[in-house]
Amino acid sequence: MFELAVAFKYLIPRRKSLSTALISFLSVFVISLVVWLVLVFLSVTAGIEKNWLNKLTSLHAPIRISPTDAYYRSYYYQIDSLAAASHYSLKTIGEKGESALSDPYAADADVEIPPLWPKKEATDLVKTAFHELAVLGLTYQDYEISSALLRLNRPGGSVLSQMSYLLSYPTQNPKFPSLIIESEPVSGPEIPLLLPKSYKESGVKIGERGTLSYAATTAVSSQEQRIPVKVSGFYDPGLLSIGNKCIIVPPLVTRTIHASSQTFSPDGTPTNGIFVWFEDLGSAPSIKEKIREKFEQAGISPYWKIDTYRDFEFSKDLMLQFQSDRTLLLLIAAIILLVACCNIISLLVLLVNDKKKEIAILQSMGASFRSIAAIFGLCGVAMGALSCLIGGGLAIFTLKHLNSLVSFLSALQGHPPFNPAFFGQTLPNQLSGEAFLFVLFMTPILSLVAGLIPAIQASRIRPSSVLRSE
Amino acid sequence: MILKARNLKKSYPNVQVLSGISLSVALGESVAICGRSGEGKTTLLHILGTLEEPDSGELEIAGERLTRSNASLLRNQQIGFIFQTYNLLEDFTTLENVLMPARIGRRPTTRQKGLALLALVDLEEKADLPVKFLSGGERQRATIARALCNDPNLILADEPSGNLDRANAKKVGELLLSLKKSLILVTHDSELAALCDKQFLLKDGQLK
Repeated sequence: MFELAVAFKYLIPRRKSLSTALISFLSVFVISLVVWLVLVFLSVTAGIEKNWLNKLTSLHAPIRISPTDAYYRSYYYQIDSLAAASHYSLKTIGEKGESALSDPYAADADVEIPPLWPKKEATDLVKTAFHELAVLGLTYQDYEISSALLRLNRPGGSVLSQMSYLLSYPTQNPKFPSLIIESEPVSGPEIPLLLPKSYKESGVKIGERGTLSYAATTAVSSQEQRIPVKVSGFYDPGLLSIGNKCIIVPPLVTRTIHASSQTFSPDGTPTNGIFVWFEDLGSAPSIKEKIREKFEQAGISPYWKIDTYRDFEFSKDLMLQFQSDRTLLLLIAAIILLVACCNIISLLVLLVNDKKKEIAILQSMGASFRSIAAIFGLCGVAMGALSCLIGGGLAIFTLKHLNSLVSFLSALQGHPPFNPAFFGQTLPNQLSGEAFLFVLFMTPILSLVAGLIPAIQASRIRPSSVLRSE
Repeated sequence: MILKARNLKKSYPNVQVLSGISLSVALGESVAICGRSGEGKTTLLHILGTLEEPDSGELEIAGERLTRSNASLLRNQQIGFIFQTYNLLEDFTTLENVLMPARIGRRPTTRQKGLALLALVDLEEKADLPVKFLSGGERQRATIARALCNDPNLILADEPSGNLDRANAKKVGELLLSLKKSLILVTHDSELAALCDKQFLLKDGQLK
């Protein structure tokens, strides 16, 4: 392709065209600098976002399945309140899943079903849901959230009281072991519980005893019930808004409390549901779709609401903000790149003026207007691609040595430049694929666009007048 | 006929340069066009070479009527230009210059082909030299080799010996006439013009 060969010849700096070479060098330098900046900035922010997402979903799960109103109004759910086999109390998802009976009602022993009672469903809503999740090969577990007053007996006779939310122990959560800061098996009749790390920071120690108090409503009064507990360890609740009040307990505790009183979660998390875990957070929407399809086929989709972490009440705003920030950053990056690529226009206009005679000679040999335009368009793309390579290489080098850079900044300022509470102990230094693709496509495209004006100018040169003036 | 021009007219502001030129050139025929400076010889050559559009008139090259869309293709396939000021591409070597028309026309270009063309003008040993190291005579010979690259039927030469000494001018003239191609030669050199099959004088916008 002769256009490419000519374009490369024109881009080689020559002593006789020093001004062109200088502007060419400056253009490549500026675009490389912008590419470097955009790559490093977008990679670090993408890394921070990823870290936050991991923290947000570490105690919960990337997908949460919660019962809908249709579930709570269903015969399947309501029937336990009429059945002696269910001790006349409504059951949690976990209890439903463990129960051998899909329908505990016995017509000959239990009270008559009221006339306006919902129609019996064809399937066991919980067991079918568990089955479909197992068919998809997903890791899942039901969870329960209750509330109770934690009273811890401190050394010296004082009592530490804190109204707390109780989350059933997520044994299936693959990330949960990494959240546990300290844990020891405790013996005795007390129920073991894991406290958020803020308790440890307040001086609470493993083995300390106390109670969980909740109100149990009877026919005539509301009585306080106490469950003896013992601290078995501490965990990191991540970025959950109620994290410092969330205690991990065995499901037995949440079920006991659930049976006597209803709880609502202040962060909007349904108090009973199913968590679904998987490794790649990015695949959450497609997995959600697969679950929805399976539930649809099984006829249980009206009873379950499937949410990804992007829809969670406590993270929704943060997710939207992340998305807005990313869009804004990409837009700013595109504008900066565009401005940098505008340098190419001035260079190529200069080059076209410099090469007028050569353009006319090429035309006299039969080069078409399109070929002449392509030569200068390619000059723009080549400069963009070269800048992309240089900037990309610099960005990879910078990200590899990001911690040294941060240390240098710390030494310069006398304090850490980035707050670990927000950015973590170290800044993320993985090159963001999204940022790399953005730069890889945007830079040559913008360079080509910038090269269009000089290319059109070049193609309009009249060979006769140029050659005659020679 | 390789070239047929009918009633070509061209004027610049306040100057009528060509006022109805008709010309036919047969395959292998050589035509010399002479005239004083400023009579429009180069303008006529550029129009015949499709580098410039006439104000009116018709032009046919190799049986194909000239339009805006086929001008560059005809120029590449049918015409070879030789200029007084050589007009070689300074950033390229002699060989690259010679093969450039083939590359523009997306034709196969081999070193062998380039060397064969340079051998015609006795310049093989200068193949890999940048053209800035060639002398005037060598440059003009390289231009002739370049004009022959796509084996065109028509050679248009504008004062090919104008910048050369007598010996080199004679050498170039002989070379041009030995090519067995249709040739339109614009020249002041009456000796060279006399060697052509036809001679015309361009005066007052007419060929006489």
